[in-house]
Amino acid sequence: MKFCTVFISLVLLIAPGAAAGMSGSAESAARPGEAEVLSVDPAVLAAERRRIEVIDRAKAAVVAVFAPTGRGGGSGVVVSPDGLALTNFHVAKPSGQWMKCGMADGKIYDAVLVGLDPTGDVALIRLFGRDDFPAATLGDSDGARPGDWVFAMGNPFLLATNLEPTVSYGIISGTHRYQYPSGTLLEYTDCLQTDAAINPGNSGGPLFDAEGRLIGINGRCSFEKRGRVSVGVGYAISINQVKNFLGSLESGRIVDHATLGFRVGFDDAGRVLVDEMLESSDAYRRGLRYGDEIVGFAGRPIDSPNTLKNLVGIFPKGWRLPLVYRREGKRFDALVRLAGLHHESQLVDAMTGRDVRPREGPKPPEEGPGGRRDSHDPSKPGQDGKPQPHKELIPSPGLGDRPQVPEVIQKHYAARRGYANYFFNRRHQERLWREWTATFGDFEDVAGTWAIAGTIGGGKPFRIEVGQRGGRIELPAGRIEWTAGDDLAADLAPPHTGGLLPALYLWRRLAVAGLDRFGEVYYLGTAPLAGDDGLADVLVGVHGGVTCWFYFDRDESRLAAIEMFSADDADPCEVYFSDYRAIDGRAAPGTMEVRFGDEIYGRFTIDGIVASPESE
Amino acid sequence: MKLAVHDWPCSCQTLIHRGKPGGGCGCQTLIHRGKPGGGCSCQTLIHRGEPGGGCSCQTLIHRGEPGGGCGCQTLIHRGEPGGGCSCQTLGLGAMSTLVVGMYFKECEAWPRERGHGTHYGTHIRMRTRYAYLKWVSTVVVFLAFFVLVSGVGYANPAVAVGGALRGSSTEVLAALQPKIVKVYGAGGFRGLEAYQSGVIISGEGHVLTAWSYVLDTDEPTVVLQDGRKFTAALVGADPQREVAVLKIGVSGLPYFDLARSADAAGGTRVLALSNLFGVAAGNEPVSVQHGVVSVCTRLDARRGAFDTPYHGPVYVLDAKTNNPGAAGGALVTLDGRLVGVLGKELRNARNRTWLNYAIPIDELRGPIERILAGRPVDQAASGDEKPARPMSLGGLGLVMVPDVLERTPPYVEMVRSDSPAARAGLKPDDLIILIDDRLIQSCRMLRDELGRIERDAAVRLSVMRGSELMVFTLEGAKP
Repeated sequence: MKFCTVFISLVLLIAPGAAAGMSGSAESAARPGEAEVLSVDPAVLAAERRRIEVIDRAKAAVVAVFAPTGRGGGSGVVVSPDGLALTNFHVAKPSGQWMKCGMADGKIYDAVLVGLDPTGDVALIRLFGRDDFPAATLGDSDGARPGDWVFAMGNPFLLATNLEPTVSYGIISGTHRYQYPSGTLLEYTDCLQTDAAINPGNSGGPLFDAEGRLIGINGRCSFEKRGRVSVGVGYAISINQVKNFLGSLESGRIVDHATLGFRVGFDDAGRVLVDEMLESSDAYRRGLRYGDEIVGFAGRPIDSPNTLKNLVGIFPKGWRLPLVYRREGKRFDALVRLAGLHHESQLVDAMTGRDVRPREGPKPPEEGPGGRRDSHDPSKPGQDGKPQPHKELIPSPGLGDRPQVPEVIQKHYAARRGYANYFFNRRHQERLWREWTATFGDFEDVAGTWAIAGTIGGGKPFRIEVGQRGGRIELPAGRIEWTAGDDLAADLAPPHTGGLLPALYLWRRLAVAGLDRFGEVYYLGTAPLAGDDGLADVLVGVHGGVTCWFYFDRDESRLAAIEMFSADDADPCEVYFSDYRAIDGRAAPGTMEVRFGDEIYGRFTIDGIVASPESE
Repeated sequence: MKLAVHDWPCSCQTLIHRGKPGGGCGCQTLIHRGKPGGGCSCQTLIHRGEPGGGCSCQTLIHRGEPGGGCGCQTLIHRGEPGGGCSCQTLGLGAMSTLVVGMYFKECEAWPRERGHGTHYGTHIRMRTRYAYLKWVSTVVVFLAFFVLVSGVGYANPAVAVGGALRGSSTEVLAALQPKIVKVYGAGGFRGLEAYQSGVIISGEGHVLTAWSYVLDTDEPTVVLQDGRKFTAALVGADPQREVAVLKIGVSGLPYFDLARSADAAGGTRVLALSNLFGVAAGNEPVSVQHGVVSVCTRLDARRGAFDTPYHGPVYVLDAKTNNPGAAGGALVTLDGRLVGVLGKELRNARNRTWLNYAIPIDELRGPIERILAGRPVDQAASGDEKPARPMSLGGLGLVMVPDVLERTPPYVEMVRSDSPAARAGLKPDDLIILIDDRLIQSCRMLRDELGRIERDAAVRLSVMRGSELMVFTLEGAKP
């Protein structure tokens, strides 16, 4: 009903507006009371019909988020038929582990927290009750240009009591905007700026392009003296950033953003130069030095320090991305691994601790440096000095009676430090395990030594054995024995591999011991595999003082690579598996490439992998 | 108009609160009377009575005898401070010289703190404005006018006619962006942003921008869309229309040809380009908003509501364009023709709504030509016709309290004997509320309004004396 009202009022407004704005209608506008003779350009009417259709389609995926206590809320948007929905971190946080979600179909669904990104202000939740939720189509936010029509939908001022989302129309005011953190971890990088009205309660809701594709998650506005209402300057997290984080958010973790480990500045010629860097950073190990000119990052040209800062902000910790730099006129290409932006405890505090953002009150001293200021999350309304008509919007965790947690939420929630919801992490671990062992096979009966034999370097034979207590490698150049001690990083044999034998030892250990007996295992989410455009599932195993990233191909569920880190600031031993073929009913790799640092150690052609039954 | 007078106990936001607040009075009244006793912490504009020992209220004007322990941060502190006064008042009684001394003392701290290398004079000016903002935002009393006056808002629902901007207009925007600049200068704290916007208006590097405190520096900086940065020289300014022309040392930039600018009638769809909130930096394009010209009208139709020297025609916009930093930005038609320059932030003093407006280029073309030609700008040209022989405070025999704020409450300091004011019966400490039917909120507004009345006309003044509203008619000067 509300939607109809909006529709009608628009039609009424358009008639005189069009009359004044369109050609040849001045005389008709001059005759009041003869509205029926107004002729509206058919193109205008067609565009209007089209817009209404698009909005009608888009609204089905929009979610009104309410905290279970009824004391707070915001907006969200469903992105998968099984009910995964995006909202803001600052909307989900006060709700805790679950929330109530209303949709345009008039129904209220229970939703559980899945993953959190406190820096990017994104939360992933999952709605229950359907397996065919209407999901928004993800667009390409890099295609947005200033002047494009866009519309925001959501639940401003928690108006959507009948669960019909509000729509506000506007244009893209700016792209690739950067908004400083204001007293929190929260930082908006590479975001979209719009003049579509974004008000308190719109937080977490979708910004759609004119075709109804999701291009952003509304979350922030510039406010100044006019109170906490839209002043025509809203910001949306770009959907391309969200796409980078989606896999990590599905893991149920509290995910972190990243840093390159160096800072840049301008020189007189306007070049972007490295002016400070950490020697422990991967960029330093890849050869970047003070004074080098940064030319490109992650496939985009870098023309200012802001561009680089913007770009780094859209990627999760741990990803490896191409960096292009120039020194003395010579161009260098490197693949650089991003380090975490925060300490784990900071992220946990962001989720569990008190909100460090200033609450409503006189003079919050929260402007960022450089004159950019006053971007607040619009979840909290209030106007200067005036009574707040929507006091209930202010989340007050801990106050009021928390309703009984529904059974479906209890079934889908597991608390664990460092996780938003460990339930989903465990589920993805099990999914990966199930998919991997379906092709690679079960090693319960063959838990003995693995022998990998084949050729290397033009037909010369090699043989690698790894077992429970260690292993050995026989190469044309010689033979190296390795024993697995308590600290696997103590002996990274063979030399110049970064630890090939420990890496293969852990591969076998994962297959033989499984998720529960390997050590600490968790699902990281998705990350790009070096030299590959697509994303791979990453399972992380920690054992014997080293950390192993197992990359699984998402289509074939095969182990595509292992990266074994002996220390935080050391290059990993990288082992890439390819040319999978069936051997004895198991999908086994035909090729194994070993890299360390910037060097390829060797390309092994595998003839066979023989796993012997467990021996004493 | 009725002045609501309430008795205790109440917590309403009345203009005048009377009676005894007792211990827990927290009302936001304009004038608070009676004896607050020990625990008064109300944010009244004027606090009367005897604060006794424990007064810590943040009143604008504190009257009565502070006695020994007054530590209130009043703007104007009256009475005899006696021995132990340590309050941070702006002016102690009539000793307004204190004000200046105090500013100098305060100023020493500013340059380092702000990290700007601007000269002393700037700081003093800045400090004055800052003091105003600080006080006015702390003292929430102007809220009271809400109760008294309800005004007309300018909100006009957006008329979003179909048709995508994409295509022609994104290209138009791309062509427009190089003509918009970011201007940086003095300022840099809350409420006084050190940036604004500007448009290039000649191939020789002339930049049209807003005349504001941002230009209160020797070296305003202009940043082009491609990120190039120039120190600008001030060519000239028209303080009445609040525009200034800067020049930067670069030629051949794309610019708006003022001779080819357009008019916009009500209903015209427009785009506003400005660096509001300083969102864009370096080579980032400024923000763009869309809207419709709601009406083309004169600001003087709202005289008394808008505190601005400009009273000429403006385009009132339905988009929220006039934000911090937006002043000096461009208002263009969808085909990219300049129709106006975005004005400063302007708030209706009566209903506290914000006006989004632009000054038509037609109004600015003449003054800009004169500025470029090096001739003085004709101040009277903006059509706000003034009487040939205007009324003045001196002519009426009134001396007001020192005008130290942008909105100093119009209190009578002194009445000259044998003057129209004395004959009518005005007395010191009267607070002028109305001239005829026009609400007066500051000494400045009082002078402005008197300047619009012929000297020989009779004028009716409504004043607050004690708790009474009294009306006096002052005869005009003999012709």
